[in-house]
Amino acid sequence: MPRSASSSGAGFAVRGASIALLALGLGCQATEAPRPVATEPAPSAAPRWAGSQEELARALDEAAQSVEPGANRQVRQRWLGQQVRWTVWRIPQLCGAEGACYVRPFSSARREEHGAHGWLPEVELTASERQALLAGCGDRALCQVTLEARVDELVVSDEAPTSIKLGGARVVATGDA
Amino acid sequence: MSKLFPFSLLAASLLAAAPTAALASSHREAPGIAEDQYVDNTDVYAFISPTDASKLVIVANYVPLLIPSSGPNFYRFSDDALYEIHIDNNGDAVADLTYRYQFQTRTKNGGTFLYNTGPVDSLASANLNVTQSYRLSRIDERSGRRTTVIDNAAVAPWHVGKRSFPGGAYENVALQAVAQAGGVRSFAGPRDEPFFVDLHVFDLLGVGGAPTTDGVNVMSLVLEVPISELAYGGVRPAAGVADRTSVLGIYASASRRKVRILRERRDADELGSFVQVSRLAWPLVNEVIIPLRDKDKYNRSLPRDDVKNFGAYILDPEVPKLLNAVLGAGCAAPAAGGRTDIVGLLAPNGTVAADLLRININQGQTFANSGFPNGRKLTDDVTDTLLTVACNNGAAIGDGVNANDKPFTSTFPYLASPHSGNP
Repeated sequence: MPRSASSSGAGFAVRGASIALLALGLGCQATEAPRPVATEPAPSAAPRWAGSQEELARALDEAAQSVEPGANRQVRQRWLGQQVRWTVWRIPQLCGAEGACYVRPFSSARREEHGAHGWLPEVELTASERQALLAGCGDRALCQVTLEARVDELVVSDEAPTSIKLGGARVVATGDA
Repeated sequence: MSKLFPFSLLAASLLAAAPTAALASSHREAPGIAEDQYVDNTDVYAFISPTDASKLVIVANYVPLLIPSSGPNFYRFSDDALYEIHIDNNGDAVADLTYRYQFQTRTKNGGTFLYNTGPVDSLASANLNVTQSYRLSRIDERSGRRTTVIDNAAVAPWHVGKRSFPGGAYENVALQAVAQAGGVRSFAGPRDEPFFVDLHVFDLLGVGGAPTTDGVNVMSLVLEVPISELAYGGVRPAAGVADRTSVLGIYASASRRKVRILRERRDADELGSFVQVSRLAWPLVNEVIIPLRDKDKYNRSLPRDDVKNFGAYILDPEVPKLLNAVLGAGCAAPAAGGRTDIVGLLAPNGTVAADLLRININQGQTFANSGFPNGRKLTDDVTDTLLTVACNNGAAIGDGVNANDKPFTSTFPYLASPHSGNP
Protein backbone atom coordinates (compact mmCIF):
# COMPACT_ATOMS: atom_id res chain seq x y z
CA MET A 1 0.00 0.00 0.00
CA PRO A 2 1.26 3.49 -0.69
CA ARG A 3 2.38 5.38 2.39
CA SER A 4 0.59 8.50 3.43
CA ALA A 5 2.88 11.50 3.47
CA SER A 6 1.01 13.08 6.35
CA SER A 7 0.90 9.99 8.58
CA SER A 8 4.55 9.30 7.84
CA GLY A 9 5.47 12.80 8.93
CA ALA A 10 3.41 12.52 12.11
CA GLY A 11 5.11 9.25 12.94
CA PHE A 12 8.54 10.81 12.75
CA ALA A 13 7.37 13.69 14.95
CA VAL A 14 6.11 11.32 17.68
CA ARG A 15 9.29 9.32 17.57
CA GLY A 16 11.35 12.50 17.74
CA ALA A 17 9.45 13.64 20.82
CA SER A 18 9.99 10.28 22.52
CA ILE A 19 13.70 10.49 21.94
CA ALA A 20 13.77 14.04 23.31
CA LEU A 21 11.89 12.99 26.47
CA LEU A 22 14.21 10.07 26.89
CA ALA A 23 17.20 12.36 26.60
CA LEU A 24 15.74 14.71 29.21
CA GLY A 25 15.20 11.78 31.56
CA LEU A 26 18.77 10.73 31.11
CA GLY A 27 19.87 14.28 31.89
CA CYS A 28 18.21 14.08 35.33
CA GLN A 29 20.22 11.03 36.13
CA ALA A 30 23.58 12.51 35.43
CA THR A 31 25.24 10.64 38.21
CA GLU A 32 24.45 7.36 36.69
CA ALA A 33 26.72 5.80 34.21
CA PRO A 34 25.82 6.69 30.72
CA ARG A 35 23.55 4.20 29.14
CA PRO A 36 23.06 3.58 25.56
CA VAL A 37 20.35 5.79 24.11
CA ALA A 38 17.55 3.99 22.45
CA THR A 39 17.93 4.68 18.80
CA GLU A 40 15.63 4.61 15.84
CA PRO A 41 16.86 2.75 12.83
CA ALA A 42 18.94 5.13 10.74
CA PRO A 43 16.89 6.61 7.91
CA SER A 44 17.52 4.57 4.84
CA ALA A 45 19.21 6.35 1.99
CA ALA A 46 17.07 4.39 -0.42
CA PRO A 47 13.82 6.16 -1.29
CA ARG A 48 10.54 4.52 -0.38
CA TRP A 49 8.50 3.97 -3.50
CA ALA A 50 4.92 5.05 -3.20
CA GLY A 51 3.54 2.24 -5.31
CA SER A 52 3.00 1.14 -8.84
CA GLN A 53 0.85 2.84 -11.44
CA GLU A 54 -1.54 -0.09 -11.16
CA GLU A 55 -1.95 0.68 -7.48
CA LEU A 56 -2.60 4.32 -8.29
CA ALA A 57 -5.18 3.31 -10.90
CA ARG A 58 -6.85 1.05 -8.37
CA ALA A 59 -6.95 3.86 -5.83
CA LEU A 60 -8.49 6.15 -8.45
CA ASP A 61 -11.10 3.54 -9.31
CA GLU A 62 -11.98 3.07 -5.66
CA ALA A 63 -12.25 6.82 -5.13
CA ALA A 64 -14.48 7.15 -8.19
CA GLN A 65 -16.82 4.50 -6.78
CA SER A 66 -16.71 5.81 -3.24
CA VAL A 67 -19.57 7.76 -1.73
CA GLU A 68 -17.34 8.98 1.08
CA PRO A 69 -16.60 12.70 0.94
CA GLY A 70 -12.92 13.37 0.57
CA ALA A 71 -12.09 10.12 -1.20
CA ASN A 72 -10.42 11.97 -4.04
CA ARG A 73 -8.51 14.16 -1.63
CA GLN A 74 -7.20 11.13 0.19
CA VAL A 75 -5.81 9.65 -2.99
CA ARG A 76 -4.14 12.91 -3.80
CA GLN A 77 -2.66 13.28 -0.34
CA ARG A 78 -1.39 9.72 -0.39
CA TRP A 79 0.44 10.10 -3.70
CA LEU A 80 1.38 13.72 -4.23
CA GLY A 81 5.04 14.42 -3.56
CA GLN A 82 5.86 10.72 -3.29
CA GLN A 83 8.68 9.00 -5.10
CA VAL A 84 7.73 6.36 -7.61
CA ARG A 85 9.70 3.81 -9.57
CA TRP A 86 7.57 2.90 -12.52
CA THR A 87 8.13 0.89 -15.64
CA VAL A 88 6.30 2.67 -18.44
CA TRP A 89 6.24 2.71 -22.23
CA ARG A 90 7.69 5.48 -24.35
CA ILE A 91 6.31 6.27 -27.80
CA PRO A 92 8.43 8.60 -29.98
CA GLN A 93 5.39 10.60 -31.11
CA LEU A 94 4.57 11.58 -27.53
CA CYS A 95 8.06 11.91 -26.12
CA GLY A 96 10.68 13.12 -28.54
CA ALA A 97 13.76 15.28 -28.53
CA GLU A 98 11.86 18.36 -27.46
CA GLY A 99 8.53 19.42 -26.03
CA ALA A 100 6.44 17.68 -23.43
CA CYS A 101 7.04 14.00 -22.77
CA TYR A 102 4.07 11.72 -22.14
CA VAL A 103 4.41 8.01 -21.51
CA ARG A 104 2.02 5.09 -21.51
CA PRO A 105 1.55 3.87 -17.95
CA PHE A 106 -0.08 0.60 -18.96
CA SER A 107 0.12 -1.91 -21.71
CA SER A 108 -2.75 -1.88 -24.18
CA ALA A 109 -4.13 -5.01 -22.53
CA ARG A 110 -4.94 -3.08 -19.38
CA ARG A 111 -8.24 -1.77 -20.64
CA GLU A 112 -9.60 -5.29 -20.89
CA GLU A 113 -8.03 -6.36 -17.63
CA HIS A 114 -8.71 -3.44 -15.37
CA GLY A 115 -10.94 -0.93 -17.07
CA ALA A 116 -10.18 2.28 -18.84
CA HIS A 117 -7.95 5.11 -17.77
CA GLY A 118 -7.20 7.97 -20.13
CA TRP A 119 -4.27 9.70 -18.44
CA LEU A 120 -0.74 9.57 -19.71
CA PRO A 121 1.82 10.77 -17.15
CA GLU A 122 3.74 13.83 -18.22
CA VAL A 123 7.41 13.31 -17.40
CA GLU A 124 9.65 16.26 -16.69
CA LEU A 125 13.11 15.41 -17.93
CA THR A 126 16.37 17.30 -17.66
CA ALA A 127 18.34 17.56 -20.88
CA SER A 128 20.68 14.80 -19.78
CA GLU A 129 17.87 12.46 -18.76
CA ARG A 130 16.06 13.10 -22.02
CA GLN A 131 19.29 12.29 -23.81
CA ALA A 132 19.56 9.07 -21.84
CA LEU A 133 16.01 8.18 -22.79
CA LEU A 134 16.58 8.91 -26.45
CA ALA A 135 19.85 6.99 -26.47
CA GLY A 136 18.32 4.00 -24.74
CA CYS A 137 15.14 3.85 -26.77
CA GLY A 138 16.35 4.97 -30.17
CA ASP A 139 13.52 5.07 -32.65
CA ARG A 140 11.68 2.04 -31.35
CA ALA A 141 7.92 2.40 -31.71
CA LEU A 142 7.46 1.18 -28.16
CA CYS A 143 10.22 1.23 -25.60
CA GLN A 144 10.00 0.04 -22.04
CA VAL A 145 11.47 2.55 -19.61
CA THR A 146 12.01 2.30 -15.89
CA LEU A 147 11.83 5.72 -14.29
CA GLU A 148 12.38 7.04 -10.82
CA ALA A 149 10.49 10.26 -10.27
CA ARG A 150 8.41 12.32 -7.92
CA VAL A 151 4.66 12.84 -8.26
CA ASP A 152 4.65 16.60 -8.71
CA GLU A 153 1.07 17.04 -9.89
CA LEU A 154 -1.94 14.83 -9.43
CA VAL A 155 -5.47 15.92 -10.28
CA VAL A 156 -8.14 13.67 -8.79
CA SER A 157 -11.58 15.17 -9.04
CA ASP A 158 -15.21 14.48 -9.79
CA GLU A 159 -15.17 17.47 -12.15
CA ALA A 160 -11.78 17.45 -13.87
CA PRO A 161 -10.03 14.61 -15.66
CA THR A 162 -7.28 12.76 -13.85
CA SER A 163 -3.82 13.96 -14.77
CA ILE A 164 -0.37 13.35 -13.38
CA LYS A 165 3.02 14.94 -13.77
CA LEU A 166 6.24 13.28 -12.72
CA GLY A 167 9.12 15.60 -11.83
CA GLY A 168 12.78 15.06 -11.16
CA ALA A 169 12.69 12.01 -13.36
CA ARG A 170 15.70 9.72 -13.70
CA VAL A 171 15.90 7.09 -16.40
CA VAL A 172 16.96 3.88 -14.69
CA ALA A 173 16.70 1.44 -17.55
CA THR A 174 15.39 1.10 -21.06
CA GLY A 175 14.60 -1.98 -23.02
CA ASP A 176 12.37 -3.65 -25.54
CA ALA A 177 8.70 -3.55 -24.72
CA MET B 1 -18.60 3.58 -51.22
CA SER B 2 -19.59 2.62 -47.75
CA LYS B 3 -19.96 -0.95 -46.76
CA LEU B 4 -22.66 -1.86 -44.31
CA PHE B 5 -22.12 -4.47 -41.71
CA PRO B 6 -25.00 -6.82 -41.01
CA PHE B 7 -26.11 -7.08 -37.45
CA SER B 8 -26.69 -10.52 -36.02
CA LEU B 9 -27.99 -12.10 -32.85
CA LEU B 10 -24.61 -13.73 -32.42
CA ALA B 11 -23.02 -10.34 -32.56
CA ALA B 12 -25.49 -9.11 -29.98
CA SER B 13 -24.45 -11.83 -27.61
CA LEU B 14 -20.81 -10.92 -28.14
CA LEU B 15 -21.61 -7.38 -27.19
CA ALA B 16 -23.18 -8.41 -23.94
CA ALA B 17 -19.86 -8.21 -22.13
CA ALA B 18 -18.80 -5.00 -23.81
CA PRO B 19 -19.95 -1.45 -23.24
CA THR B 20 -22.07 0.09 -25.96
CA ALA B 21 -20.84 2.83 -28.24
CA ALA B 22 -22.48 6.10 -29.07
CA LEU B 23 -22.22 7.61 -32.52
CA ALA B 24 -23.81 10.94 -33.25
CA SER B 25 -21.22 13.60 -33.69
CA SER B 26 -21.77 15.07 -30.26
CA HIS B 27 -25.47 15.06 -29.72
CA ARG B 28 -26.31 14.30 -26.08
CA GLU B 29 -22.92 12.61 -25.80
CA ALA B 30 -22.31 13.00 -22.08
CA PRO B 31 -24.59 12.43 -19.09
CA GLY B 32 -24.20 15.92 -17.68
CA ILE B 33 -24.70 17.90 -20.84
CA ALA B 34 -27.69 15.77 -21.82
CA GLU B 35 -29.47 17.47 -18.92
CA ASP B 36 -28.65 20.93 -20.26
CA GLN B 37 -29.67 20.79 -23.88
CA TYR B 38 -29.34 24.49 -24.71
CA VAL B 39 -25.59 24.47 -24.19
CA ASP B 40 -24.85 21.14 -25.82
CA ASN B 41 -22.39 21.49 -28.71
CA THR B 42 -23.29 19.18 -31.55
CA ASP B 43 -20.87 19.85 -34.40
CA VAL B 44 -18.20 22.22 -35.64
CA TYR B 45 -17.41 22.82 -39.30
CA ALA B 46 -14.67 24.96 -40.85
CA PHE B 47 -14.00 25.56 -44.52
CA ILE B 48 -12.61 28.19 -46.83
CA SER B 49 -15.55 30.27 -47.98
CA PRO B 50 -16.94 29.04 -51.29
CA THR B 51 -17.79 32.63 -52.19
CA ASP B 52 -14.61 34.38 -51.03
CA ALA B 53 -11.40 32.41 -50.62
CA SER B 54 -9.92 35.12 -48.42
CA LYS B 55 -12.39 34.19 -45.69
CA LEU B 56 -12.94 31.24 -43.39
CA VAL B 57 -16.39 29.94 -42.50
CA ILE B 58 -16.90 28.40 -39.08
CA VAL B 59 -20.16 26.73 -38.10
CA ALA B 60 -20.82 25.86 -34.47
CA ASN B 61 -24.04 23.99 -33.81
CA TYR B 62 -25.82 23.59 -30.50
CA VAL B 63 -29.05 22.16 -29.06
CA PRO B 64 -29.38 18.78 -30.72
CA LEU B 65 -32.12 16.89 -32.48
CA LEU B 66 -34.90 19.48 -32.44
CA ILE B 67 -38.40 18.51 -33.51
CA PRO B 68 -39.75 21.30 -35.75
CA SER B 69 -43.22 21.36 -34.18
CA SER B 70 -41.84 21.94 -30.69
CA GLY B 71 -44.12 24.78 -29.60
CA PRO B 72 -45.24 26.77 -27.87
CA ASN B 73 -41.77 27.50 -26.44
CA PHE B 74 -39.70 27.02 -29.54
CA TYR B 75 -35.98 26.48 -29.26
CA ARG B 76 -33.47 29.29 -28.95
CA PHE B 77 -30.07 29.96 -27.41
CA SER B 78 -29.70 30.35 -23.68
CA ASP B 79 -29.56 33.94 -22.42
CA ASP B 80 -27.43 32.87 -19.48
CA ALA B 81 -24.64 31.13 -21.36
CA LEU B 82 -21.54 32.01 -23.34
CA TYR B 83 -21.26 30.42 -26.76
CA GLU B 84 -17.70 30.65 -28.02
CA ILE B 85 -15.56 29.76 -31.00
CA HIS B 86 -11.88 29.49 -30.12
CA ILE B 87 -8.97 29.77 -32.52
CA ASP B 88 -5.40 28.58 -31.97
CA ASN B 89 -3.20 30.23 -34.61
CA ASN B 90 0.28 29.15 -33.54
CA GLY B 91 -0.12 25.43 -33.04
CA ASP B 92 0.26 25.23 -29.27
CA ALA B 93 -3.32 24.05 -28.73
CA VAL B 94 -4.09 27.16 -26.68
CA ALA B 95 -6.74 29.60 -27.91
CA ASP B 96 -5.32 32.88 -29.20
CA LEU B 97 -8.64 34.33 -30.34
CA THR B 98 -12.19 33.82 -29.18
CA TYR B 99 -15.44 34.87 -30.84
CA ARG B 100 -18.13 35.07 -28.17
CA TYR B 101 -21.90 35.10 -28.67
CA GLN B 102 -24.19 36.31 -25.86
CA PHE B 103 -27.95 36.32 -26.27
CA GLN B 104 -30.92 38.22 -24.94
CA THR B 105 -34.57 37.23 -25.31
CA ARG B 106 -37.44 39.70 -25.39
CA THR B 107 -41.20 39.14 -25.31
CA LYS B 108 -43.44 41.85 -26.69
CA ASN B 109 -46.65 40.55 -25.20
CA GLY B 110 -46.46 38.32 -22.16
CA GLY B 111 -50.21 38.00 -22.08
CA THR B 112 -50.35 35.34 -24.77
CA PHE B 113 -48.89 31.88 -25.20
CA LEU B 114 -48.18 32.51 -28.86
CA TYR B 115 -44.64 32.77 -30.22
CA ASN B 116 -46.05 34.98 -32.96
CA THR B 117 -49.41 36.67 -32.80
CA GLY B 118 -50.01 36.79 -36.53
CA PRO B 119 -48.34 36.13 -39.85
CA VAL B 120 -44.70 37.20 -40.01
CA ASP B 121 -43.18 38.70 -43.14
CA SER B 122 -40.07 40.34 -41.72
CA LEU B 123 -37.82 40.33 -38.70
CA ALA B 124 -39.30 43.67 -37.75
CA SER B 125 -42.85 42.31 -37.77
CA ALA B 126 -44.88 43.34 -34.75
CA ASN B 127 -46.38 39.86 -34.87
CA LEU B 128 -43.08 38.27 -33.92
CA ASN B 129 -43.78 38.11 -30.21
CA VAL B 130 -40.69 36.32 -28.91
CA THR B 131 -37.38 37.57 -30.31
CA GLN B 132 -33.78 37.03 -29.46
CA SER B 133 -30.75 39.20 -30.22
CA TYR B 134 -27.04 38.80 -29.63
CA ARG B 135 -23.73 40.53 -29.25
CA LEU B 136 -20.69 39.09 -31.00
CA SER B 137 -17.37 39.94 -29.37
CA ARG B 138 -13.82 39.21 -30.38
CA ILE B 139 -11.32 38.50 -27.62
CA ASP B 140 -7.59 38.58 -28.12
CA GLU B 141 -6.63 35.93 -25.60
CA ARG B 142 -3.01 37.11 -25.44
CA SER B 143 -3.82 40.67 -24.46
CA GLY B 144 -7.28 40.07 -23.01
CA ARG B 145 -8.60 42.86 -25.22
CA ARG B 146 -12.27 42.45 -26.09
CA THR B 147 -13.96 44.28 -28.92
CA THR B 148 -17.57 44.21 -29.99
CA VAL B 149 -17.85 43.03 -33.57
CA ILE B 150 -21.63 43.11 -33.94
CA ASP B 151 -24.19 44.29 -31.40
CA ASN B 152 -27.92 43.83 -31.11
CA ALA B 153 -28.09 41.50 -34.10
CA ALA B 154 -31.28 39.49 -34.53
CA VAL B 155 -31.48 35.74 -34.16
CA ALA B 156 -33.51 34.12 -36.93
CA PRO B 157 -36.91 33.00 -35.64
CA TRP B 158 -38.11 29.44 -35.39
CA HIS B 159 -39.86 28.09 -38.48
CA VAL B 160 -43.20 27.79 -36.74
CA GLY B 161 -45.19 26.76 -39.82
CA LYS B 162 -46.99 27.74 -42.98
CA ARG B 163 -49.63 29.82 -41.19
CA SER B 164 -47.03 31.90 -39.40
CA PHE B 165 -44.86 32.33 -42.50
CA PRO B 166 -47.36 32.22 -45.35
CA GLY B 167 -46.31 32.00 -48.94
CA GLY B 168 -42.94 30.47 -48.14
CA ALA B 169 -41.83 33.63 -46.39
CA TYR B 170 -39.74 31.92 -43.74
CA GLU B 171 -36.33 31.82 -45.39
CA ASN B 172 -36.59 35.43 -46.54
CA VAL B 173 -37.26 36.44 -42.95
CA ALA B 174 -34.50 34.22 -41.60
CA LEU B 175 -31.90 35.61 -43.97
CA GLN B 176 -32.67 39.11 -42.73
CA ALA B 177 -30.83 37.91 -39.62
CA VAL B 178 -27.52 37.81 -41.49
CA ALA B 179 -25.43 40.50 -39.82
CA GLN B 180 -22.31 42.12 -41.21
CA ALA B 181 -19.65 44.40 -39.81
CA GLY B 182 -16.42 45.13 -41.57
CA GLY B 183 -15.45 41.91 -43.28
CA VAL B 184 -17.25 39.69 -40.77
CA ARG B 185 -20.59 38.04 -41.42
CA SER B 186 -22.60 36.27 -38.78
CA PHE B 187 -25.80 34.27 -38.56
CA ALA B 188 -27.49 32.81 -35.50
CA GLY B 189 -30.66 30.78 -35.59
CA PRO B 190 -32.32 27.49 -36.40
CA ARG B 191 -31.18 25.49 -39.41
CA ASP B 192 -31.73 22.03 -40.74
CA GLU B 193 -29.51 19.58 -38.81
CA PRO B 194 -26.61 19.10 -41.23
CA PHE B 195 -25.12 16.05 -39.57
CA PHE B 196 -26.21 12.82 -41.20
CA VAL B 197 -25.90 9.50 -39.44
CA ASP B 198 -27.74 6.32 -38.60
CA LEU B 199 -28.47 6.72 -34.90
CA HIS B 200 -29.57 3.10 -34.71
CA VAL B 201 -25.96 2.55 -33.85
CA PHE B 202 -27.13 3.10 -30.29
CA ASP B 203 -29.10 -0.09 -30.62
CA LEU B 204 -26.13 -2.43 -30.25
CA LEU B 205 -24.34 -1.05 -33.31
CA GLY B 206 -27.37 -1.78 -35.46
CA VAL B 207 -26.49 0.55 -38.32
CA GLY B 208 -28.22 -0.03 -41.61
CA GLY B 209 -28.53 3.21 -43.51
CA ALA B 210 -31.46 4.77 -41.65
CA PRO B 211 -31.27 8.57 -42.04
CA THR B 212 -32.25 9.23 -38.46
CA THR B 213 -31.26 12.89 -38.34
CA ASP B 214 -33.46 13.77 -41.29
CA GLY B 215 -36.29 16.14 -40.47
CA VAL B 216 -34.80 17.67 -37.35
CA ASN B 217 -33.29 21.08 -36.71
CA VAL B 218 -30.41 22.51 -34.73
CA MET B 219 -29.38 25.95 -33.50
CA SER B 220 -26.51 27.28 -35.61
CA LEU B 221 -23.87 29.94 -35.27
CA VAL B 222 -22.24 30.71 -38.59
CA LEU B 223 -19.26 33.04 -38.74
CA GLU B 224 -17.37 34.17 -41.82
CA VAL B 225 -14.15 36.02 -41.06
CA PRO B 226 -11.23 37.29 -43.15
CA ILE B 227 -8.45 34.76 -42.71
CA SER B 228 -5.97 37.55 -42.09
CA GLU B 229 -7.90 38.41 -38.92
CA LEU B 230 -7.43 34.87 -37.68
CA ALA B 231 -3.87 34.15 -38.79
CA TYR B 232 -0.86 34.40 -36.50
CA GLY B 233 0.47 37.95 -36.57
CA GLY B 234 -2.44 39.00 -38.75
CA VAL B 235 -0.74 37.73 -41.89
CA ARG B 236 -1.99 34.80 -43.92
CA PRO B 237 0.90 32.37 -44.53
CA ALA B 238 2.28 32.15 -48.03
CA ALA B 239 1.44 29.21 -50.23
CA GLY B 240 3.58 26.21 -49.41
CA VAL B 241 4.38 27.18 -45.84
CA ALA B 242 3.97 24.12 -43.66
CA ASP B 243 4.85 25.31 -40.18
CA ARG B 244 2.63 25.42 -37.11
CA THR B 245 1.16 28.78 -38.04
CA SER B 246 -0.08 27.53 -41.38
CA VAL B 247 -2.99 25.75 -39.75
CA LEU B 248 -5.67 27.08 -37.46
CA GLY B 249 -6.98 24.93 -34.63
CA ILE B 250 -10.65 25.52 -33.90
CA TYR B 251 -13.06 24.40 -31.23
CA ALA B 252 -16.41 25.63 -29.95
CA SER B 253 -17.62 25.66 -26.39
CA ALA B 254 -20.47 26.70 -24.17
CA SER B 255 -20.17 27.95 -20.63
CA ARG B 256 -22.57 28.58 -17.79
CA ARG B 257 -22.24 30.50 -14.57
CA LYS B 258 -21.17 28.50 -11.55
CA VAL B 259 -24.21 29.22 -9.42
CA ARG B 260 -27.93 29.22 -10.18
CA ILE B 261 -30.31 30.14 -7.40
CA LEU B 262 -33.98 29.38 -7.92
CA ARG B 263 -36.26 32.09 -6.51
CA GLU B 264 -39.81 31.58 -5.37
CA ARG B 265 -41.20 34.85 -6.69
CA ARG B 266 -38.96 35.87 -9.55
CA ASP B 267 -36.53 34.54 -12.13
CA ALA B 268 -33.54 32.54 -11.01
CA ASP B 269 -30.26 34.30 -10.33
CA GLU B 270 -27.17 33.25 -12.25
CA LEU B 271 -24.05 34.10 -10.30
CA GLY B 272 -20.30 33.64 -10.38
CA SER B 273 -17.78 33.18 -13.11
CA PHE B 274 -18.44 31.08 -16.19
CA VAL B 275 -17.50 27.42 -16.34
CA GLN B 276 -17.13 25.55 -19.61
CA VAL B 277 -19.73 22.79 -19.76
CA SER B 278 -19.41 21.66 -23.36
CA ARG B 279 -16.76 21.69 -26.06
CA LEU B 280 -16.31 20.20 -29.47
CA ALA B 281 -13.90 20.16 -32.40
CA TRP B 282 -13.48 16.85 -34.20
CA PRO B 283 -16.73 14.98 -34.62
CA LEU B 284 -17.29 11.91 -32.49
CA VAL B 285 -14.33 12.28 -30.13
CA ASN B 286 -16.37 12.63 -26.98
CA GLU B 287 -18.90 10.22 -28.44
CA VAL B 288 -16.74 7.21 -29.07
CA ILE B 289 -13.20 7.88 -27.89
CA ILE B 290 -13.95 9.10 -24.38
CA PRO B 291 -15.70 6.55 -22.12
CA LEU B 292 -18.59 7.34 -19.83
CA ARG B 293 -16.47 7.98 -16.75
CA ASP B 294 -14.74 10.93 -18.41
CA LYS B 295 -17.29 12.39 -20.83
CA ASP B 296 -18.41 15.25 -18.62
CA LYS B 297 -14.81 15.84 -17.55
CA TYR B 298 -13.83 16.09 -21.19
CA ASN B 299 -16.44 18.82 -21.64
CA ARG B 300 -14.90 20.72 -18.73
CA SER B 301 -11.30 20.44 -19.92
CA LEU B 302 -9.15 22.26 -22.47
CA PRO B 303 -7.68 20.91 -25.71
CA ARG B 304 -4.10 21.65 -24.65
CA ASP B 305 -4.41 18.92 -22.01
CA ASP B 306 -6.01 16.29 -24.22
CA VAL B 307 -2.97 14.04 -24.54
CA LYS B 308 -2.19 14.28 -20.85
CA ASN B 309 -5.81 13.65 -19.82
CA PHE B 310 -7.15 11.36 -22.50
CA GLY B 311 -4.15 10.15 -24.50
CA ALA B 312 -4.57 6.52 -23.50
CA TYR B 313 -8.10 6.50 -24.91
CA ILE B 314 -6.78 7.84 -28.22
CA LEU B 315 -3.94 5.33 -28.37
CA ASP B 316 -6.23 2.46 -27.49
CA PRO B 317 -9.69 3.30 -28.85
CA GLU B 318 -12.68 1.17 -28.04
CA VAL B 319 -14.38 1.46 -31.43
CA PRO B 320 -12.38 -1.06 -33.47
CA LYS B 321 -12.71 -3.64 -30.70
CA LEU B 322 -16.47 -3.20 -30.68
CA LEU B 323 -16.63 -3.34 -34.45
CA ASN B 324 -14.75 -6.62 -34.36
CA ALA B 325 -16.68 -8.08 -31.45
CA VAL B 326 -20.13 -7.13 -32.62
CA LEU B 327 -19.91 -6.95 -36.37
CA GLY B 328 -16.90 -9.07 -37.19
CA ALA B 329 -15.45 -6.10 -39.02
CA GLY B 330 -11.92 -7.42 -39.16
CA CYS B 331 -10.42 -4.20 -37.89
CA ALA B 332 -6.65 -4.20 -37.70
CA ALA B 333 -4.80 -4.82 -34.46
CA PRO B 334 -3.14 -1.62 -33.27
CA ALA B 335 0.56 -1.09 -33.81
CA ALA B 336 2.98 -1.65 -30.96
CA GLY B 337 2.69 1.83 -29.54
CA GLY B 338 -1.04 2.07 -30.09
CA ARG B 339 -2.90 4.30 -32.53
CA THR B 340 -0.17 6.86 -33.02
CA ASP B 341 -1.60 7.41 -36.49
CA ILE B 342 -4.63 9.04 -34.86
CA VAL B 343 -2.35 11.14 -32.67
CA GLY B 344 -0.63 12.24 -35.88
CA LEU B 345 -3.93 13.31 -37.39
CA LEU B 346 -4.50 15.47 -34.31
CA ALA B 347 -1.11 17.14 -34.72
CA PRO B 348 -0.61 18.27 -38.34
CA ASN B 349 2.38 20.43 -39.27
CA GLY B 350 4.10 19.88 -35.95
CA THR B 351 1.26 21.31 -33.89
CA VAL B 352 0.59 20.10 -30.36
CA ALA B 353 -1.71 17.09 -30.52
CA ALA B 354 -5.18 18.06 -29.35
CA ASP B 355 -8.83 17.71 -30.23
CA LEU B 356 -8.93 20.76 -32.47
CA LEU B 357 -10.45 20.99 -35.92
CA ARG B 358 -7.40 22.09 -37.87
CA ILE B 359 -7.46 23.68 -41.27
CA ASN B 360 -4.74 24.87 -43.60
CA ILE B 361 -5.06 28.60 -44.22
CA ASN B 362 -2.17 29.15 -46.59
CA GLN B 363 -2.67 31.52 -49.46
CA GLY B 364 -4.05 29.60 -52.37
CA GLN B 365 -6.24 27.37 -50.22
CA THR B 366 -9.78 27.27 -51.54
CA PHE B 367 -13.07 25.68 -50.67
CA ALA B 368 -12.04 22.68 -52.76
CA ASN B 369 -9.07 22.07 -50.47
CA SER B 370 -11.25 21.96 -47.37
CA GLY B 371 -12.42 18.57 -46.26
CA PHE B 372 -12.16 16.59 -43.08
CA PRO B 373 -9.68 16.32 -41.41
CA ASN B 374 -8.40 19.50 -43.12
CA GLY B 375 -11.31 21.46 -41.74
CA ARG B 376 -14.75 20.02 -42.27
CA LYS B 377 -17.25 20.79 -44.99
CA LEU B 378 -20.97 20.39 -44.47
CA THR B 379 -21.07 17.57 -46.97
CA ASP B 380 -18.23 15.55 -45.44
CA ASP B 381 -19.31 12.08 -44.37
CA VAL B 382 -17.25 12.16 -41.20
CA THR B 383 -18.90 9.10 -39.73
CA ASP B 384 -17.65 6.94 -42.57
CA THR B 385 -14.24 8.62 -42.49
CA LEU B 386 -13.79 8.09 -38.78
CA LEU B 387 -15.10 4.53 -38.79
CA THR B 388 -12.68 3.75 -41.59
CA VAL B 389 -9.79 5.36 -39.72
CA ALA B 390 -10.74 3.57 -36.53
CA CYS B 391 -10.98 0.17 -38.18
CA ASN B 392 -7.79 0.75 -40.14
CA ASN B 393 -7.87 -2.43 -42.19
CA GLY B 394 -7.76 -0.85 -45.62
CA ALA B 395 -11.48 -1.20 -46.26
CA ALA B 396 -13.92 1.68 -46.31
CA ILE B 397 -16.73 1.18 -43.85
CA GLY B 398 -19.63 3.32 -42.82
CA ASP B 399 -23.10 3.65 -41.45
CA GLY B 400 -24.89 3.67 -44.78
CA VAL B 401 -26.06 7.29 -44.53
CA ASN B 402 -24.01 9.32 -46.94
CA ALA B 403 -25.72 12.68 -47.41
CA ASN B 404 -27.95 15.21 -45.72
CA ASP B 405 -31.68 15.22 -46.29
CA LYS B 406 -31.61 18.79 -47.63
CA PRO B 407 -29.11 20.31 -50.04
CA PHE B 408 -26.79 22.92 -48.60
CA THR B 409 -26.78 26.36 -50.12
CA SER B 410 -23.98 28.06 -52.03
CA THR B 411 -24.43 31.34 -50.21
CA PHE B 412 -24.05 32.44 -46.62
CA PRO B 413 -25.00 30.90 -44.18
CA TYR B 414 -24.63 27.78 -46.34
CA LEU B 415 -26.77 25.59 -44.08
CA ALA B 416 -30.19 24.50 -45.30
CA SER B 417 -33.36 26.21 -44.13
CA PRO B 418 -34.84 24.55 -41.04
CA HIS B 419 -37.73 22.16 -41.27
CA SER B 420 -41.11 23.75 -40.74
CA GLY B 421 -43.17 22.97 -37.69
CA ASN B 422 -46.25 22.84 -39.90
CA PRO B 423 -45.19 22.23 -43.50
